[in-house]
Amino acid sequence: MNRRAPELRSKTRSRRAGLVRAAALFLVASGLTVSYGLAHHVLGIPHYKYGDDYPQIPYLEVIAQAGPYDLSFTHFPGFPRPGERIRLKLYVRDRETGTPYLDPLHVELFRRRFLWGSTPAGAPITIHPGVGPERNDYKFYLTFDEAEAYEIRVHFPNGDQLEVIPFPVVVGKTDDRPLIFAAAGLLAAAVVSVAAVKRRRRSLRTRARRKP
Amino acid sequence: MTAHAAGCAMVVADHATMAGLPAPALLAALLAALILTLWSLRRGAAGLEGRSATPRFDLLSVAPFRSLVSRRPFQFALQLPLVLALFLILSAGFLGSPVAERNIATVLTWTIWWTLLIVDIVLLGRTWCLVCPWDALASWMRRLAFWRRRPEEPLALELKWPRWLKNVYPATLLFVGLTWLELGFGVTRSPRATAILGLLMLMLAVVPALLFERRSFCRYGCLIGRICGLYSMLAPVEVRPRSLDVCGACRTKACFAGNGKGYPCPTGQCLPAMKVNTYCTLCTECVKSCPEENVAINVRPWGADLQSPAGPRRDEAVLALVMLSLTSFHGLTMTPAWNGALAWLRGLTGMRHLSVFSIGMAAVLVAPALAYLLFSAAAVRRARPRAEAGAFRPALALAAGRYAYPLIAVALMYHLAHNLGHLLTEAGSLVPVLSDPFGSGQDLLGTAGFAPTALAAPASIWTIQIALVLTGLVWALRATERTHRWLAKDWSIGSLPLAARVITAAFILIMTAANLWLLAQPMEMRTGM
Repeated sequence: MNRRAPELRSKTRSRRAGLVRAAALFLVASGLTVSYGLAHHVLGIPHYKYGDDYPQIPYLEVIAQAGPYDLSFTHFPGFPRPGERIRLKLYVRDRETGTPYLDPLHVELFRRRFLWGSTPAGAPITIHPGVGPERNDYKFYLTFDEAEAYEIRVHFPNGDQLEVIPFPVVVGKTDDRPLIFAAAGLLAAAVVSVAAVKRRRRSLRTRARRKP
Repeated sequence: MTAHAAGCAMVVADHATMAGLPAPALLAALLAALILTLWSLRRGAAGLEGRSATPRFDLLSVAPFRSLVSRRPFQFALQLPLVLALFLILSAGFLGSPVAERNIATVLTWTIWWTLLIVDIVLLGRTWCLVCPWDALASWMRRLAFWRRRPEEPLALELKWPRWLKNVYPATLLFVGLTWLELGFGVTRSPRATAILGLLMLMLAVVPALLFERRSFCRYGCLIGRICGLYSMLAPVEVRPRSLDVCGACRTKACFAGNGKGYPCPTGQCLPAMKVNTYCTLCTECVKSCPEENVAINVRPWGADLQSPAGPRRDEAVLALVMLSLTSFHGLTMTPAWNGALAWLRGLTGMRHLSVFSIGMAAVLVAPALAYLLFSAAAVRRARPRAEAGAFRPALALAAGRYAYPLIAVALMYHLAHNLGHLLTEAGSLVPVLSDPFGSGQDLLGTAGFAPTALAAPASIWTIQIALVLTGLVWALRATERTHRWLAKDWSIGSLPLAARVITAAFILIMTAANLWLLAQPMEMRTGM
């Protein structure tokens, strides 16, 4: 019998335990990100686009599904500044028939903060669609005074349940200068540090050679 | 804050999709795959004997080419345009339009470079590493010279690369991480994220170059280098010694250690020991340093390295399996089926997009690897039914290691088929952004208003894609037959039984069929063409 066998077994066991722990951690982390929504699906990732008026200012588009309906949410400009008036549009239509959804919708506004969750960013509003041919989407305006990530939560009745569909609005453009300066600084620091260490090594070598 | 409702014209937009193979073409391709598999099984090892001495043509025997490659500024001249392109991508990504198809950062990186990279490997081998702009910047900083051979020590601490990292697992992890970022966060649709990724790669190349000996990051950590490395086993270009006898008599080993004419090999290769392309970056320093002019840059038959009976490495086998899974995963994420599955899972669990995406990606990564292990185990059981219990695990480790290499052909050919589809459909999107690289309304070359169209008709693209995937299948099947022979030799048995050969062939056929099915799905394009 191999004398190391029990050690190997315990190593394998601890490896397995580590894997189980990692899997549990992943599941807990996944659970932490569970959203409050029901059966709606935001398709793909929010993305920026130009309209027919290129090269103008881009808008943001999010496409979602809820029950038999397709939802298209856009806001213009795509990168609103604090205090700037934002035009938001929501178009909802039946996937099969193409018939637009025309009932009033309840909308809540939230501010999203990393690690702090969401807090209300204003009073809820009710939005109404336009009426008439090619005027049947929900159009409304918002102005946010603070640079922050916001969430527009649309309450959408899907059969006998109410779905809450979140759409992002980020106010204030990300400034990349700190990132670029940090990268350049890190590179410069690495070069200077390596050069300093090399010089020190060289001088130590020279000193060692001079010693009788 | 103000809010009011008013009517307005509808806004509905969706990403452009490319139609997949029509059903009859898919059926024909699947049938052809089955026939080719049966043909290969019937043929067995016949025709594989004596193929190790395949013909080579030494490009350095052409005097003008040799003269060009031997000059020190050769690599610099090739790297400089790529470094300028990298700076253009970083600038456009940080300062330009956030709309992916209107910014040269995303178009050049994901539509052109990422797709051409695979075409380049298949046609020219690892020439990407020769011109790599990240490596160029790192090498220039390390050497304190653009091309000159400085006799002084490099600007680097020359630390030993940690022993536990002397494998390709760091690159494998980075590859999985990049794929997660690319597809989970939609990096391909964000010029800014693309620029951040480019900057991150620059840091990853430069900082280790200043800390560690040689270009350890290129050898062990670079995900692009390692993917190119494994794929280049099938490439038609190699660097090898002209004569092993000359290498045997060599006392300086200048290819490894460098001399006044050339820098030491950046990945620590010694020419006489080089059997496969995996770790050669085609930097041509050995061409410059070899005092005997004993270095050849050979044109050879495709897939020549799969004929090498070198012992398998577990880390490389794992990377090969990851590549097999993730190349198919790239295609899968662009299909409506994937979006439908994610939507279903989201509805079921209530999780957010990224969590569901991560679970899906983990499943796609693990499932083929598990299936591969099961198939390998079944093949080993059939091949060695009377082996004692303790011998099964080592036998499985050896077989799973060896059988993984032929799968590189399946991964590479599907990757190429998928990327060619993108390239032939979307390459035209480069024309308008060349005139307006930042998407700011400029028209530098008068082509900003150019409406890009596909470079080939769908029928032509489908034909090429099917041909490539079937080529990968045949390649993998033939290489696996060769692997059977090596295993039979390792296990001292005459030959592997038909059942074991059928099992391994079945796995390759299943992966090929899955790839053909993916090609039959409508694909969402990288750009909004």
